[in-house]
Amino acid sequence: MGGDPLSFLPRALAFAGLCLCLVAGSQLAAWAGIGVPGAVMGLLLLLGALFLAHHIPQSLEDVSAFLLRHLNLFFVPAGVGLMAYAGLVARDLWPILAALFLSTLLGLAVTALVFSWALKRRGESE
Amino acid sequence: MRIESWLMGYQLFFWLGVTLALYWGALRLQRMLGGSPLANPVLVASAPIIAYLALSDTPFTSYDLGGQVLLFFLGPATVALAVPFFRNIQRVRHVMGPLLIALSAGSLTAIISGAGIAFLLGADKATVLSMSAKSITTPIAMGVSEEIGALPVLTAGFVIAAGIIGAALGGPLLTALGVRDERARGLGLGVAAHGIGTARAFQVSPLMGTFSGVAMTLNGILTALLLPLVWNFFF
Repeated sequence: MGGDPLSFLPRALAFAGLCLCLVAGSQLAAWAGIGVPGAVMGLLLLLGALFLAHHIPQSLEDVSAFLLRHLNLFFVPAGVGLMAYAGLVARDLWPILAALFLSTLLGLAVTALVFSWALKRRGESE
Repeated sequence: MRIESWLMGYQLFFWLGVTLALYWGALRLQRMLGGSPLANPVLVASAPIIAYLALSDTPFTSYDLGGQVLLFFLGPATVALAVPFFRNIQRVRHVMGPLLIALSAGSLTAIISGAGIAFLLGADKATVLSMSAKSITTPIAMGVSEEIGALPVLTAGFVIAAGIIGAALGGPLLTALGVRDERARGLGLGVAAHGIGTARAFQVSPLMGTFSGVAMTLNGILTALLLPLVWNFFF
């Protein structure tokens, strides 16, 4: 928002860089024929580039922070789309609720307990 | 034809505007409620739209035009996860061994128990498959869901619900289990409650948030690489 009318350019480039990683990742996933989402391959490509560069450009930092801070906005259409599955959700309501509550809390507890256990085994106190 | 395309453009910008306004309102509401995970902006913003579409008998496709514009950003946003991950991974390097062991155990537990419980209680195959990706961050989960032949939108719903449950009940549960180490608590939240758990963890402390964020992204990447292989092996 400074006086320079071209100050948006680095951020636009950073966004284009993210899109480039996405496209390259999608191509890579399609070529390799592995069922991995293109966006995840793109994430790995960007991660590799960051490890090589040892540095995060400020513009990339800004654009990523913005996209991730407002991630929820991009899910609103998915939330609205859920209405198409009202029948399925109503039919499977009890299995869904049981799986969501039990499995989420089980996964949470197992992760935290195993980590504490592994730390103690390594001889590090809490 | 010309009138139709005019109408499409009108609908696109109308619903885009409505979604943005509701999202903004939902953010303010959540802030007013002290950042409570129960006031999830996705739920708060989409509920009025669902109610309107259902009551007025408006076809979902008229909304979906604007929706597709927003969904487009999910791809670049997923790639952007690499940036905080790269920064935070340096801070957790000293406990990488225990972290990977705990993450694998928790991730497998979440996948197997999620799909398993739904299956044993007689849920539809689409529900079971969609449930298997419920603990990974939503943008990755929707992609994985597509790869394994589940329903991405249903998966997104499960992911958000799992995140709210984990963020709301995870803290008290871990306290009851005697887990006080902030790193362990953060990891648990990140593995089981992804972004919603991470937001909660950052409210407690930067250390807890960092561990939660790393766990979330690592869990997403590993699950995305392994889950399609596992499902293709079984089906």
